Amino acid sequence: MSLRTTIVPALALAVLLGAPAPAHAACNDPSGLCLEEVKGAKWEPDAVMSAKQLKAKRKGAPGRLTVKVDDGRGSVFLDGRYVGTATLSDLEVGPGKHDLQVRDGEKILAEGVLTVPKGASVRVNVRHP
Amino acid sequence: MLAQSTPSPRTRLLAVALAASLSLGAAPAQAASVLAGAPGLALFADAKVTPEQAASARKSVQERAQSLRKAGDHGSAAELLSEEAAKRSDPVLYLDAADAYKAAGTEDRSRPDLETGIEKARVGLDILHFLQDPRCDPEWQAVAASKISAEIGRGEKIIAASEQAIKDMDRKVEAPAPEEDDEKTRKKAPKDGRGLIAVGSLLTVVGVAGLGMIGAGVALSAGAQKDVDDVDLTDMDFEQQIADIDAKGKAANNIAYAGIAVGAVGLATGIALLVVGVKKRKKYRAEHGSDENTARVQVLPTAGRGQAGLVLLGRF
Repeated sequence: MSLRTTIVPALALAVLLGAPAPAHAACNDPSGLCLEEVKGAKWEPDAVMSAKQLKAKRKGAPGRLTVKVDDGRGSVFLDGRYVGTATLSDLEVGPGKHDLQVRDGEKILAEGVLTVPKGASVRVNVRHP
Repeated sequence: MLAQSTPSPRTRLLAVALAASLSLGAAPAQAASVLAGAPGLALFADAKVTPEQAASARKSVQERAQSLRKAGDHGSAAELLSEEAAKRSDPVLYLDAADAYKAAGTEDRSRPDLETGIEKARVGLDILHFLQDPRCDPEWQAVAASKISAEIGRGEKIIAASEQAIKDMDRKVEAPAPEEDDEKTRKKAPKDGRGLIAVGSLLTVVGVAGLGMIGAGVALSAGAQKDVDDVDLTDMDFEQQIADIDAKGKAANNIAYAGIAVGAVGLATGIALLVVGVKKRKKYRAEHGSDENTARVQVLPTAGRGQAGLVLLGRF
C-alpha cells in the first residue's frame, strides 16, 4: 500500500477544492462596473432609488453579492450604508433592487442600482482608474 | 488501479489533511474578504444611528483604548479600535485605530502595522466622504455633518504621517551604516590623559628653556660686569666701551627676566598638566587595563662627546 496511491488523489482533491474562482476579465464598462451574466441580474448605472423603494420589504430567498475592485481598493456602500471594503465575498443581500456605490476616498468608482435575483449569486467587478 | 488500492485510515487522514490545507492555502484572499465583509451584517439591522448615539457608543471604546495606549500598548489598542470600528462601521473609530497602528508601527519599526493603519484610515475616509453623499441613508449618520471635514483632515494627516514613517524606514534600511563613522570611532584616541601629558610635557620643556634663558642672561650679565671692571679708564674711548658693555648687560638682564617669566609659567602650567594627565592615565588604566596605545613619557640620561644631559621622550 504505497503512500503515492493516496497522495495522488489527495492532490487532485486539493486542486479541485483550492481552484480559485475563475478570474474576472478586466472591467472596461464606462460606468466603472461590470456585472457577471446572471439571469435576472441588472445594473443601472447612476440610477437612484427612492426612499420608499429602499424601505420596501424584500420577499424571497436572499441572494449573494461579491464585489471586486480591479487593481485597487474601494469601500462598498449598499442601500446607503457601509458594508465592507472590497474584495467582498458572498455578502448576503435581500432579493430585488439595491442602491450600490463603491468609492475610494473622494473618488466614486461606480454607483447605481443593482438588481439581485432571488437566491442568485451576483458577482460584480469594479474598475479602479 | 488507483481505485483498487485501499489506504489505511492513517494515510487517508493524511491525504484529507493535505487536501484541506492545500485548498485553504490556495484561497487566502477569499477567506480574508469574507471576514472583511463582516460589517455588512449591520446592514440588515437597519437601526437608526445618530451622531449623538454613535459618539456615546464609541466613548467607552476610546477610553479603553486610551488606557492601553497610556500603558504603551499601542498594538492592543489598535486591535480593539479596529474591531469595534468594524462592528459599528464607525469612521471615527477607524481613524483612531489608524492612529494607534501608526504609533505601534513607528515604535516597533513595523511596516505591516503602518500599512494596516493606512488602510484603516482609508476606510474611515471612505465612510466620511460617503456620509456627505446624497446616496447615504439619512438614518445612518455616525458623525455630525459639522465635524466631517475635521475628521477627514485628521485621517489625511494620519495617512501622510504613516507614509512618511514607511519612507523613513525604507531610507534607513537602504542606506548602509557609514563606514567612515566607524573608522572615526575606532581611531578616536581614548580619554586617558594623553593630551594633558603632551601639552604638559611641551610646557615643561618651555619652562626648562626659560630656566636656560635665566642662566644665559645671568651668565651674559656677569660677563658684562666683568668687562666693565676690566675697562681701562685711561683709554680715549672708555666711555664708548662702557656704553657698549652697558647695552650688552641690559640685553642680558632682559633675557634673564624673560627667562624668569617663561620658566615660571611653563614649569607651573606644564607640571600641573603633567600631574593631572598622569592621574587621568592611571585612572584610565585601572578602568580599561594597560594598553600599549596609552601615552608614555620617559626621561633618559644621554651622554656624548663633550655633552651630557637628559632626554625627554614622550609618546602620546
